[in-house]
Amino acid sequence: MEDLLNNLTGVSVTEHLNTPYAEHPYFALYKAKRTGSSQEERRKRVLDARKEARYDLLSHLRNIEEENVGSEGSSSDDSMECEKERVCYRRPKKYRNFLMMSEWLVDVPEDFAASYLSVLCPVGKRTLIVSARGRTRAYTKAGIMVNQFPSQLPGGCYYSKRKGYALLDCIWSETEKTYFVLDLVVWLNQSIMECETLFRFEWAKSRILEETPDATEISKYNPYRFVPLPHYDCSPETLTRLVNEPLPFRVPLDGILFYHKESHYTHGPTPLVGWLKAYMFPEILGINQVAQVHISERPAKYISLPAHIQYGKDRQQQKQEALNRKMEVSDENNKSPREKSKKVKDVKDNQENTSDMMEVSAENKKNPKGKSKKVKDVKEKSSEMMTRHQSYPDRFRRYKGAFPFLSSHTDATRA
Amino acid sequence: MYNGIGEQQRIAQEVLTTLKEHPDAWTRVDAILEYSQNQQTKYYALQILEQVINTRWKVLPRDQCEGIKKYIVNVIIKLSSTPESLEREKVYLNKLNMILVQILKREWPKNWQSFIPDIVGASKTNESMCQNNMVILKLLSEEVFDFSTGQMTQTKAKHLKDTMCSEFQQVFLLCLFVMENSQNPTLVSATLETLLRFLNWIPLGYIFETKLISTLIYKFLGLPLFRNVTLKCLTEIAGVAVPSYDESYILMFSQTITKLEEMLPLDTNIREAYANGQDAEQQFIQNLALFLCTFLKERGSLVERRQLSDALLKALQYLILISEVDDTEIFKICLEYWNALASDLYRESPFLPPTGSSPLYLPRPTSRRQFYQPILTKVRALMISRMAKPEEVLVVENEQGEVVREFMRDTDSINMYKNMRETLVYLTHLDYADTERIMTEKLGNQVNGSEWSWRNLNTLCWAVGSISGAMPEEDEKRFLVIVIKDLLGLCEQKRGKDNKAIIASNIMYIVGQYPRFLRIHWRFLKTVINKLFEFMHETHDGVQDMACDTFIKIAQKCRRQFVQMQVGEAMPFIEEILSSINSIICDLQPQQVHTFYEAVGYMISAQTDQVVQEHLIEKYMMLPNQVWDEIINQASRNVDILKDSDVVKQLANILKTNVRACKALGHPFVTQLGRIYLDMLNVYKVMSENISAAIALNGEGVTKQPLIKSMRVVKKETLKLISGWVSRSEDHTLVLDNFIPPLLEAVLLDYQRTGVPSAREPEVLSTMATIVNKLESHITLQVPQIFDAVFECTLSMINKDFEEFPEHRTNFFLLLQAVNTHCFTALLNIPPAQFKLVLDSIIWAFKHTMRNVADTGLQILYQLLQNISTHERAASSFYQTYYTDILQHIFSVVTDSSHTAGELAFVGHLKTE
Repeated sequence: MEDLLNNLTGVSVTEHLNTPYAEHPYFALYKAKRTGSSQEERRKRVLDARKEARYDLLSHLRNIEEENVGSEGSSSDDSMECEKERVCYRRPKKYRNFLMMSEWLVDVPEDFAASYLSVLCPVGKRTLIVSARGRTRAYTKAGIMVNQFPSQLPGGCYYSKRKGYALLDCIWSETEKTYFVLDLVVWLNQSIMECETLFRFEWAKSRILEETPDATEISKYNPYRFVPLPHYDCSPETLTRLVNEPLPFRVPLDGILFYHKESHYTHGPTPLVGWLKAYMFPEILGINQVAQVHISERPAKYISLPAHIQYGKDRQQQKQEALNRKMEVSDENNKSPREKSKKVKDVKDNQENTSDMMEVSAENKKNPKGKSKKVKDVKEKSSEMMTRHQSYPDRFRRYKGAFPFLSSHTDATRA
Repeated sequence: MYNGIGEQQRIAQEVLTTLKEHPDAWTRVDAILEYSQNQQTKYYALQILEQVINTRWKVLPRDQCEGIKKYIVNVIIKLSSTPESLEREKVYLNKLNMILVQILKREWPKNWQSFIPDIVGASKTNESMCQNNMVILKLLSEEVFDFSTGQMTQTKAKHLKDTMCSEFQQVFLLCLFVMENSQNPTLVSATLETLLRFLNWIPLGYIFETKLISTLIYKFLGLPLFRNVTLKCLTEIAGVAVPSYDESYILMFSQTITKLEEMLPLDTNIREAYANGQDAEQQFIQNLALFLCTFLKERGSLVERRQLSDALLKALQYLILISEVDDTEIFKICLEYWNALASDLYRESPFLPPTGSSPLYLPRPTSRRQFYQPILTKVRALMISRMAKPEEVLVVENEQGEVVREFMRDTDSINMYKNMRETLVYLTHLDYADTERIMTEKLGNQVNGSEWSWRNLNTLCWAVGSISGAMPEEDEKRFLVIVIKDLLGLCEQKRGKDNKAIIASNIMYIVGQYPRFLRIHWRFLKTVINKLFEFMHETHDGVQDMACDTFIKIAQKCRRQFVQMQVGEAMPFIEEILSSINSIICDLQPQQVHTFYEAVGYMISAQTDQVVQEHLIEKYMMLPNQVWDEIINQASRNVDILKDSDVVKQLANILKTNVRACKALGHPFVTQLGRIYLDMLNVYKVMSENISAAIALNGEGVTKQPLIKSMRVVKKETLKLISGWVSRSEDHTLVLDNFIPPLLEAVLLDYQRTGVPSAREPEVLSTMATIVNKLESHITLQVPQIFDAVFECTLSMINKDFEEFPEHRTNFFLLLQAVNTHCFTALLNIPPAQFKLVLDSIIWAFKHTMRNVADTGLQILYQLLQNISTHERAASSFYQTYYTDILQHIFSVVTDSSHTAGELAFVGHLKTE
């Protein structure tokens, strides 16, 4: 039955590890069956893959240049090249899975503060806005058009229909009649998908506020507001401020997105964008000071974490008892009393440390010495848990040790 | 005419029609037949003649009748006397035969006593004439025995049948003679065809006390040319309801099976043979299926008793082989038998443990079950590998231009599913271990890839889902865990979203089919629900729909589990759902959101503590209420906001959510309804005014505009919500005191005042009908008010013709019916002039050709007459004034051929008055 539950939790149609639509793996009772590696590793892979791609492109361009050197029609070729450069991102026919989606922020990297940007997200529906040929259309992430209206965005209404087009990644708030602009994809036919996060964010802010300020106000040809969302750095101080000070919008806070600074705009879920609810800050980021309004959103099951811990303990107790009974039967004859007592002692230690009993006792059998070292580690860590540390990953790991009922998958892979 | 075009053709048509309608046209028929060289002209002439025979035969002078008769007979004899002309003039001759039979129906036996001897005698002159005579006899048999209902009076039909039976011997001897002696294949097959028609009515002695059966089996069954019709004859014989002649049947069965083995060895792959076979061969397989099923169903127990197990087993094996044929019709034939067999075996001793696992101290399972066991195993495999689709969803666009999904009821495939499920459930009861073994094996083949395909997987999962509850609980649990585990493994193993989506849907389908399992495994249920919530964000086609459908299915079946406090939880799960409802539904389409709301409504309806429930409902409706309040606030400042298309759409959406919530919650929805009730009626009025104003300004064409359409949706949904709740309400006084007065004031007045008939909502009438049906006599006092508002203005919309405003029409009479049934005293108290109007409209109703309206009208009248007869005082004056009137109209309808059945039963009632 346990297996069944674990497997069922892992079922997905579109592969989306750490999907924010399921429980945060840190809090989940059942861990989705993982086939891939940790979030941090996947991040590295994505970034590396892109660096390589960029390198390829550069060398490719260089090659072309080298080839062109010496050829008679270099000037015309240059213009060709320019034109090629200017070839704009083609408006895709279908917008299904166009939006860049997040994962739960699970593994907090060492350089989190330096390499990430944070955005406060209002409650609303994630929407892709396409303004083109005199019409503005809103698409869901499944690519279904849900609304069509005029807007002051480039190409968004009859009067600007020759002005090119724009693609914006927004959060739609029905009560405020506002599209909060999260990210910018295309502006005036110019794709900035291949640009890094900070540039996209700044570009979105400056384009909307400078070029089309009318889009931020409701008018006859702009029935909904387009408001860029502010972004912040990820230092603990800023983050603490964010979840304690008044929000920059009148809608309740949904959660916080964390964009990797080097991330480009990609389609579908990516490990380079993380997502947290404000009430998860203490456990995941070690920011304990969170405004009561956010903490109160905590589902009751999180409030009852102690109950869960108790539940985990009980289960272990049961398992242990079953194991003991088994051992009593099998071990009685072939094990010396000393070994036995040692085992029992180990077991006691383990219980105190609330570490994964099954694993420990299993390893104990093979290598009691190494095991006891591990047990000691756990012990140390749990004592450290009381003191606060600044670096995220350490803190994260330590907290993990505190919840033995979480499966040991991630620990194992990391080790 | 048939070669002409356009205008030319039209004129020709007109000329011919005038000719046809001319009373004396038939007198020219003989000349036309004699001299015309054109087939179509002859055919046309015969049509004229047929019409005369059918309608005016009795009024024609006798000698004319004789003349026609003789003439037709002569023509037939002439044409059928040589095989060449018989072949050449086939179509023409057929029509002539038909005419002759029509004449016979009127002439024979009274005016043409010698017909049977005549025709038998004539048959002996030559083979081609004999062949045509067989056709005539066949037609006659069909006319008299098969199609006589509604065409002739019962006494007449009986008389004809008796005559035919008494003179049958000559015909029978003729048939036998032909069968034994003729070498002419077409003649023989015509004879067999004729015999086939006779078999279901001829005196039994002809069948069982002659050599007929053995002739059929030994002489004709083996010949490809005749085997189809022979099998049909045998099927007919097998189906005759007669308790005796057991010996003949046994003989017939064993002989047929022996013969069959020669023709079609048991190791034939019938499935392939069918797929590659010609028409006649496919027909043969079907006829064989029919024969075996009919025989075994009627005489199966007889065969069992006589220990013909060998032949029986062979017959069953044939049936198994035939069941594998890839043809739905044939499968249905076999399915019917398998179903009967399985249910028979089960009902014989329902509480016996399945074979094999019975403890020693219990009596051994009956030998019958043991005997059928190997066959049943094959049938199980058959059912599992061919399980039909359990539900069909149709994606359609409704009249408001919204794409909606409709669950189809009563389609062919669903009926087939029901039959197959029933069969498989019986079979599982008989031996669940075997069912489980087959299913596990098939699942294994999915996992190892040897049978992997979407279709196979679906079929298997439908089969697994179909036997929910048929196994003992512990076994079911074990089985289900294995199945789900395997499917999860399969899902992980397969690559590609399409594959994963199919497997995930199947897992969810199976899970939804086993509520008993879900109810006792809370953590599993919770994981499933959370997974469904996750799927509600999935962008792959159909996954969201699947998630919503499964969610509502589970919510309905396990509703209590969600409001109870479960072990290891901090609060009932419903609270968790309600507090995160926003993020759960954020990626769903509106209609999916409505489904979601209905599902959650079912859960809340399981909360029995009223206070807790009210609190839940408040939280549940918070999101739609927020938007609603916002709009109402804005509208109270500036009513023009209700002309904004976005706002109107939002309102419609919110109301639809409410409708679904009400459907699920029933009476407790009252708190929510009360909250929005008055505002909703105000919105209704404003919408109505807006529509009327728009029509006044721009004409009726404006009703096709999207904005006006969605305004009407708001009105319709409002009415739907009210009638939906009233029909589920449980407190008459509460409804009557608090909800009815404002409703009547707002809706009825608006209905009456609406200047343009097409802008009136037919749903107003149906809502009133629902209210009257629900509140019954309690609302009698308000009936005059309702009638004042809706009666005359609706009547003036529908009394011009029988077609316009069909919905208003239907609903109007339904309202009338409701009032008449429940508030009859209100009808008695209205002034005579209005009562006359009511009665006239009832009469108007049953004059309709629209079937449902006419039926409603008759039912109302019937009920009305019954009601009247219980009121002594009213009765006499009623009969004096209206009785003859009603009778007249009834007769005028009954005699009109465009109204078919239905009225006849009614006349009986009138007689008793």
